[in-house]
Amino acid sequence: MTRMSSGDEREPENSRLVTAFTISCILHLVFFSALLYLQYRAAEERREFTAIDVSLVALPGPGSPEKPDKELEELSVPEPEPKPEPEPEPIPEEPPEKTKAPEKKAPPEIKEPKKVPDKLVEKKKKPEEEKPKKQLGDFEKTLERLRKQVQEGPPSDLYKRSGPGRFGPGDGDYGAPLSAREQYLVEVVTIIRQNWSFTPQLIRERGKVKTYVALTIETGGVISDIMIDRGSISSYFDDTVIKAIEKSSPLPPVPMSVDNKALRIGLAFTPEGIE
Amino acid sequence: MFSSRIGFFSLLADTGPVVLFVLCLLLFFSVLSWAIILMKAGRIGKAANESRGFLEFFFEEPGIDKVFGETEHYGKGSLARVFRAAYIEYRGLGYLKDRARIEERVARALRREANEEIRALSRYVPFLATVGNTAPFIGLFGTVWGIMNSFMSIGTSQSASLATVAPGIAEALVATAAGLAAAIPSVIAYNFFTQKINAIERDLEDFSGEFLKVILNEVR
Repeated sequence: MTRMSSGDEREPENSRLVTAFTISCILHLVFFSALLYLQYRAAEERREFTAIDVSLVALPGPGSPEKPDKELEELSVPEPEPKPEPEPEPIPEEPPEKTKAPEKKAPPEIKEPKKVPDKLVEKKKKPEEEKPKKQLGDFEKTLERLRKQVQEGPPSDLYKRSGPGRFGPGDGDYGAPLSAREQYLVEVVTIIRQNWSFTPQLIRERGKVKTYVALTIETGGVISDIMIDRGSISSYFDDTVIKAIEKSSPLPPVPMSVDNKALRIGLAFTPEGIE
Repeated sequence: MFSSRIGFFSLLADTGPVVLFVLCLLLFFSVLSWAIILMKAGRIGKAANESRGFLEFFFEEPGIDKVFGETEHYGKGSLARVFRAAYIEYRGLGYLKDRARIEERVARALRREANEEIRALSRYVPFLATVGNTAPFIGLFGTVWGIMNSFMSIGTSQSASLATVAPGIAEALVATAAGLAAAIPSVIAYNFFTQKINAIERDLEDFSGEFLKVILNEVR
């Protein structure tokens, strides 16, 4: 009788183990699903940020397209640190500075620094201006700083035009409809972003990471001539960018309304998104 | 896109077969140990609670026949089951008039049933100890293997940059994390269950002595 009772007990214990195993499987499944969902949410949030950035860059400021550009060019020179600002506005504005620099390089070397220090110096240079003896040294310093700024800016004009909305003349106020070219570039950027993946934990000093990549979109949509104009400090990040672009090929064909030949564009990649 | 953008799972996507095997093994260990934890938590909890209730009833009720009738309500209680087995043995010895022999037979029945009960309660519990002891080492094995591959990739790519080494190490460390995730609950549960089973075992020993005394009083 005693033995029978323990034998009877063992039978349901095995079935209880099976039930518990099933529950455990479900619990693990729920746990991993929750983990997946949380990480997906985190990724989604990050993507939202990039969307905001793009929309800000994409649409030109109010008024005529040329006027604000001039103003912005002037303003872009004195800004010593364009990076902490997530708005990528200062970045496309710097190339004109770069193009100006080499032109003025040969003939009047003193002219350029004369202009710049006046605008650049706000707090620190005021006391320096009071010392005329050291003016020449100041010019050199300013020139050096200016060179550094130009180096930090986009490497070519490609990046000025690459921001959707910045290349179409006379698009008017914010919220104005995008031109066919802009729409196509927005589509391209979206596809590349979708194919872009990297582990943020592997990138240190995210604020300093920025990769400028130039690429050609053939009329059929195939991407060719991918070239890193300026790599970031993280070669891992650069690799992920190249992989994303390669993975995105072929893109949708270039619409006839955009261009009937291959399109050469430049994109700036940061951990926050594509500019 | 979806899977590749997600940090932790993107690490798993690039893992090698050995690390993947280690992770699968640890996942199986984790599932099984949690199944045992769930099952044993219910079983041992009920055994302890019902034993406590039965013990109170046993000391309140003077007649063992009445107590026997009440054992039906304490089906999961260890003490009730041991009592039941010993009572049946005792009643089966109705023809015996020798007190020493009755004591010996009942004591043997008590011991046998108590052992059976402890064995049933402890069943699968050592597996928790095994997981607790081995899972971190299995995870560590996966990590060592992953790091080994990372260093090999330094050799092949001729570059010791963070970009070359870091992904491999990150993948590898997932194995250690998985090992610890499987081991920690197992060790906690093992210690808890062992302590509970030891308490029930002590109760059984004490109860056996008491029960023998009651039976011998009745024989007299």
